[in-house]
Amino acid sequence: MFKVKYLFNSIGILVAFSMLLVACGQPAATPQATSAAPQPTVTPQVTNTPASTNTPSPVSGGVLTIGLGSEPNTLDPGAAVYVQEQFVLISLFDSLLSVAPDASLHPGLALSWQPNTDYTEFTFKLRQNVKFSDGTSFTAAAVKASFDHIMSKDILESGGKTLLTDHKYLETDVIDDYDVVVKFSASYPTFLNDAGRQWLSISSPTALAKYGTDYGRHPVGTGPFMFVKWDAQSQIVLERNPAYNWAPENASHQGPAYLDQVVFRILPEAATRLTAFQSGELQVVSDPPSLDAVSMSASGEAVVKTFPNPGIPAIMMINTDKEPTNDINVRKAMILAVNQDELAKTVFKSLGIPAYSVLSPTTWSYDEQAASLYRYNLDQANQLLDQAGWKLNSNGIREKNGKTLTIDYITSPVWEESFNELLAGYLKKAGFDVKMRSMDDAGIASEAAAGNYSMLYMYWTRADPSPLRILFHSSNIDGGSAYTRFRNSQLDQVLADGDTQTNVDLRKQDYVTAQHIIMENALVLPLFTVNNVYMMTTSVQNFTFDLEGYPWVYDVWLTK
Amino acid sequence: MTTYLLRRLITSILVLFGVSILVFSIIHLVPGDVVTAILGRQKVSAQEEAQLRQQLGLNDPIPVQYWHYLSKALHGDLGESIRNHVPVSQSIAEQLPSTIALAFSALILALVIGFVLGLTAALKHGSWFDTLAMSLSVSGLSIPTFWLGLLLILLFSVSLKWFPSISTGSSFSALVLPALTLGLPETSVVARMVRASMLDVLGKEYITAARAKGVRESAVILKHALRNALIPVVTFVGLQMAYLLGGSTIVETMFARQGIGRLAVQSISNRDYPMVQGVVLVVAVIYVVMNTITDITYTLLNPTIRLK
Repeated sequence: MFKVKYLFNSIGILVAFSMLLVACGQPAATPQATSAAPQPTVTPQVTNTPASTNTPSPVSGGVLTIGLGSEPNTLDPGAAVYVQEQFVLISLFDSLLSVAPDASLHPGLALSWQPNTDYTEFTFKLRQNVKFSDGTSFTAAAVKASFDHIMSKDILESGGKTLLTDHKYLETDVIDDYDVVVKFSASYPTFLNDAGRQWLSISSPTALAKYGTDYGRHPVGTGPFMFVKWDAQSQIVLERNPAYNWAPENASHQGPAYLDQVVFRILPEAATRLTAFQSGELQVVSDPPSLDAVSMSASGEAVVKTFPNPGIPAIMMINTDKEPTNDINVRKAMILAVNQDELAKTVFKSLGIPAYSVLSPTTWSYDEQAASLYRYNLDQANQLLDQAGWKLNSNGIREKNGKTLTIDYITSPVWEESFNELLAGYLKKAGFDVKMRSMDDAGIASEAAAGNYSMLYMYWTRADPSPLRILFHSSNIDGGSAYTRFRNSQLDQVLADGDTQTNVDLRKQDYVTAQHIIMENALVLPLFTVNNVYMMTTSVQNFTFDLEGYPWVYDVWLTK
Repeated sequence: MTTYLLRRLITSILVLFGVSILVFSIIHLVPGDVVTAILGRQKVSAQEEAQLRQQLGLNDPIPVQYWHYLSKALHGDLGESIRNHVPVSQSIAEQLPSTIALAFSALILALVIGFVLGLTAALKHGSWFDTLAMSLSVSGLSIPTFWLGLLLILLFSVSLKWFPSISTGSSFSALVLPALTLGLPETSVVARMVRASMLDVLGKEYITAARAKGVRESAVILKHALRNALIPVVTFVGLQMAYLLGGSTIVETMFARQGIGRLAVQSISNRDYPMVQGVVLVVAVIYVVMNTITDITYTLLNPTIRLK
């Protein structure tokens, strides 16, 4: 069983996502993932390219201050769950592998890797001459200590713990200082991809032993930046690791980071982030108010970079088990009645990206055809409802056999869904009566479990389509999160196969089929793609993202 | 005098005892089961639920739980955060200095400016200065903190770039804007109280008598009038100090300062009950202590009080 906890974290407060709860992951986890990759060349790839005369050369120095909306709970990668934690961890820690934005695998702390045939044992050859920022040498013992730490009783729950427990982590065998085998008793075809993510990054065994349960406030990694201090509710300060000489080959330079320091300021108020940016105290603001970001970018005062989140966009999961949404024509009419393009542009201005399918376009296996089934068409929506026998009454609401066409929508005040009223307005135009019930998490949980709703809000950021199984496999209807409550043996079959299939093409086919079944049966009402927005000063150069939208600060430099 | 002090201290201890019972009860007053309330929509295994129950000490009889809570609290152990497992006392100790620095600077600002304005207005009663000072203090009282703070940020941070808008620490430049934002309404109150109180006292017969005896005007004002006029101001300052030390959540949030007010709000929204309990207890202790100090200061200013 998976844990719904993570799911709710991800849908609720725009925080925890990129959850991997089941045996699933990146498409690249195929037999050819084995690689005896050579040492990364020490040639800078972006720097000093004579051809590009317009690009100024990177300079070292400066402090980059980034305004974050929420504070991490911990900086122990093994205990981490949330986005804001991975935001910081990516600069402090290295992982065994490095996953490029195109999801390809590259050497990280491991130079090469070899899974066995059933993907239960993974042999890594480790990089030498790597040191943690506390001076400890990186060896196989660190890999073992980090994974064992995740499984220890000190950590009740975390992203990494879910990954390892779900695949029945057995042990890490230290063969010698630079050869190590990680063993599972369940097949884990996507382990190599997960081993490249922050949750499974490698901690200093000395620091783990020294700080114990307090390690989350004294993190020690091998990353391009070293931890300096964490003033709770205020800031996290990192400084350049001068010894860093093991950047992944897909980075745009080698050697130490350009920046002297990176400061993450904890600024929960969007207005505070904005004024601090305008006063020059911040160089980067995450999630700025859309209107200000658009206007400041237009006036040239700021540069806005966005990263449309892969995975499941913001959608409404429609209950197929309850009247009136048990009728496929009613569900189709709901989708057709909503103008996604206008909705996204109204709420997020020009930064809004409408969604038309159950996966967002940047997700691996996204299928264009499944996303082209519905486009806003109020006439067609009305027609479908007429055919289904729902007739307009004098109040502009449709009725059938004395019952009104009521959409029971449970929502949470915490979600601050600025689109709620807009969405209700679109549905009302087609004759739906949208009843919004606002309640706290506990209330939503019990109503959701009882199936007492017509539609439920959801989104899930993940580069891989694997969350589809959790949200749509019929085994998750009772006690799980399959809120559409739809039963279809073909859908179940492809979602289950997608979990364990090691052939990339077959696995992709599974998810394409799943997208078609979900959209053809009108199980979800797509709204918009969740877009990571960063506003920065024009002095910030080379601000790029990893494959799940975390800023890759290592390559950033500031013009003087 | 000693009896009075003793009585005052015993009352304070009784109040603190009552507060500790109330704070302890928070966790039992949450509707439904507190563990369910903490877990919310999350679904965890029965074992994890039991572990949380154990961690919160919810398996013991309530009086036993209270006893554990009290004896630990007396030793400075307020439990640990459910959210990040940091000891509550450590979190409070991290946040309190920032709140104290802000509260003191706001209060000093209020007292200095408030006294000068109030005293001058009283002495020049009915003059243009009096009218101006009192109009300003009405504005100071009427402007909501968040609005005032925003205006100050826009002027001094965004336009002039004199002071930071997100301030860390207790340096002068970091404190200026938050202290102004927090202190201006207090300044207005102090100014009005000093003025009203001084006018009241200056009209008393003993002042006329002092003047008739030929006491110098400065001595009349400072020795005879001001000392008596101070009593209501001291009450106000004592209570305000407690209030400010309780954490000014809005100002702390607006300027992204560390502080106990933000900690309280954050913990409430995280359902971090041990942290909420700890913050409430500490703030209550601050209130009781400040009240006691205020009462004792009275007696020094006005001996008739201690005789009652």
